[in-house]
Amino acid sequence: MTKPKKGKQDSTQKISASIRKPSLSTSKKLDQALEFAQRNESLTSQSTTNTKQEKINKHLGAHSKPQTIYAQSLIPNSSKEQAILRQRAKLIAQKDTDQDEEIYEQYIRFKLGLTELYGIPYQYAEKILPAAKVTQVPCTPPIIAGIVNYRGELLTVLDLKQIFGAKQDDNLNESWIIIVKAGTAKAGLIIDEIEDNDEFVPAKLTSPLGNNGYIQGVHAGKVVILNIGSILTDSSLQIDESVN
Amino acid sequence: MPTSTTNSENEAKIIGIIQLKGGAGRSTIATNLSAALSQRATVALIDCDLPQGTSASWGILRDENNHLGNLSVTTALDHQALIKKVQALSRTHDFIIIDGPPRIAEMTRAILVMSNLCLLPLGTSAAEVWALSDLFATITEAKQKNIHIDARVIWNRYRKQTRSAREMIDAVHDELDLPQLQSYLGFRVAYSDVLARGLWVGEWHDPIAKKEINALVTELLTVLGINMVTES
Repeated sequence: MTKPKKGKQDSTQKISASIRKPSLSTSKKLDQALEFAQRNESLTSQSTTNTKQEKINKHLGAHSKPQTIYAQSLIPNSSKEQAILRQRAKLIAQKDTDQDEEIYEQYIRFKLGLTELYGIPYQYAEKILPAAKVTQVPCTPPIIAGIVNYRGELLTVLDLKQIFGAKQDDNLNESWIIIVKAGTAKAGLIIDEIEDNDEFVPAKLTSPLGNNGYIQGVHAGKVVILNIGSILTDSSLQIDESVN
Repeated sequence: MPTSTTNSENEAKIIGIIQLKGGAGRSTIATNLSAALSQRATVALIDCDLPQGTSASWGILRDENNHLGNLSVTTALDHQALIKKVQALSRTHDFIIIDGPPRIAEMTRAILVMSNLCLLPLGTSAAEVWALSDLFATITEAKQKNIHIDARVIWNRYRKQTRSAREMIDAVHDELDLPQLQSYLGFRVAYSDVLARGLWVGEWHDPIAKKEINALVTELLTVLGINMVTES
């Protein structure tokens, strides 16, 4: 991505062309602004940094005479103290295994049909495209909406509404395709409306009723988090039949 | 063009966006706000953060795609140039959005005073809050000189679920006496996606980001006391 060349002249030309009345009024506010901007001696950046520096010095016990302290001089000399430091460094370097903090995972929340909310974890989502041209493929189950050309690659697009039996929203005028991948498998999923990106706690997902393996769990009682891995590798999606 | 402001003095409303720390989201807010307002009014965006010029680059991209419409984008090198430009542009535009420099210079002081409303973008990181406290000293100085300043914090990259965000907001509320806007910008990839394309989130597939910016626009118009025909 190249940063566009900044032609200061270009943008200025654009402006001057749009100025209708070149006569300038002396606005009080602008005068005030100019005055305030230039009367900067009372609280110059110099003086603020000075007071700040003084504060820091005072805090560090350097008193009125600022002293130069080198980092090395602060390292304890005795071998016993050094051993303690090394021990501490080791402890800090260790990965914290029993964290109290919950592990969040980010996901994209979207709508299917009129009301149902679904989510796809970020790690599976690759790209979102407008569902412009899905080419239908004959002799495929309704679950397969067709194929799209994604960067020169033909990808199968699945219609999740067929899997989950979601009702079609007839008022919808545009939908999107999320390109998802799991391992080497990649496919597009038709979705109706992207709602938000959000976070969920994998450990806190509730298991859904009648799990067909396509669902990782339910987040906050309303968002169905999809199991992309099992959707993409499901055997019922593998069509290997020939017509006589 | 559906331009319908009740701008009786025929002078632009000036919205300055300042924060002393880089990467706080000044240009994100400046560009999205400018583009959103330009859907209904004439807007001039002045980028004062040179040589970086994020907003100006965005404007050039937008121009290349013929998306500028009611928006003009320009730059200002110092406070005198800025004041001159604001003077000229305020006659011909409904809004002037100023993307400030990331330092406490004459420019920042001028923007603080000349703006009808100053936005102080703030991410939930301590470094940004520290940078804001330097700015706060300047605001206090202006107030002591009886100069009216309306500066408000706007939270950027805000994640409602995190506890640290909550703590930070409380800390800013307690320690810095600055009003905070109700609307905020979430932690959303859409904001960086659109910047690179010269777009605003209203032209992108993230309805939440669009809602966030529209909510911000509505709130700003209320603060500025402007009745504008809102988009249906």
